Amino acid sequence: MLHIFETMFFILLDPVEGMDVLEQRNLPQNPDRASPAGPFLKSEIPFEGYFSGTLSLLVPYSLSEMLAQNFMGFEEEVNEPQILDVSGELANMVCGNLFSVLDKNSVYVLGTPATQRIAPQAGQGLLEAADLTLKFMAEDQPIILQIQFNPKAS
Amino acid sequence: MAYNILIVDDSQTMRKVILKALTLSGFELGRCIEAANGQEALKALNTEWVDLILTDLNMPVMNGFDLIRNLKADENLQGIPVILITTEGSEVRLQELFGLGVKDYIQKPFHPETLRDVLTRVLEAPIV
Repeated sequence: MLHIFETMFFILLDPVEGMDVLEQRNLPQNPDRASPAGPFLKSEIPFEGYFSGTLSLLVPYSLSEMLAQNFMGFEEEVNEPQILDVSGELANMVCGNLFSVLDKNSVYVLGTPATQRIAPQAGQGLLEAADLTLKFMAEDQPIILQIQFNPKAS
Repeated sequence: MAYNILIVDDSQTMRKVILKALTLSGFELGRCIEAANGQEALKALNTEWVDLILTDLNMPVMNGFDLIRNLKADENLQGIPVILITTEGSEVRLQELFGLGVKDYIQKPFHPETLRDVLTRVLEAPIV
């Protein structure tokens, strides 16, 4: 995952352990970002293979904007549709590369990524339960990777 | 020689990034045509001649697999070299695609230099 961010987004990613990076005090304070549209983008991509499920990537909106800018070229201005598209493409790369590394000999079919803005509700966390949650920091902002596996048919 | 290239990817921003990498590659480019899926690509090929196709695999409407099978089944199109630009890393799928005549592949994420090197190899053209 680190090499994806470095190669095409020119951002260094640091894995994080043992801290809740989505505690309320860590959320972006910019009120324009905080409401009503929500300060995070959530990109989800389904996958099917020996294991099936959904990979989700949560990235603060302001960081998503920076990623899109870096991806498209620093001289380019980016708009909202492009930011959403780049977020989906990022999830696509993360998912594809994950299975390339974990299981090169199996075939995994990736679905079409879907990206939406989400906002934390008072008293509720951003994260849903998942089988796997990995946390990273980039540009002092949190990035959350989650994988939820579908139950295997008995 | 100016190369006409067809870029097939459902991500509009990825198509722009590939186009930018092509522009910076040093290759003399003619027309660069974009398509969001295999169906659009085949439609474009009805009226445009291209020297190379760069395509993703996982796309809605018509994926890269079906696009490649359609190309190989058409005697007018089967000679156009195809390079994959994809997140696909499965050895099984890649071997199947090479068996269909795909010339090379680039796994996302990629450096622009990688695109240039693969193009040089496939097109056997010197960089100007």
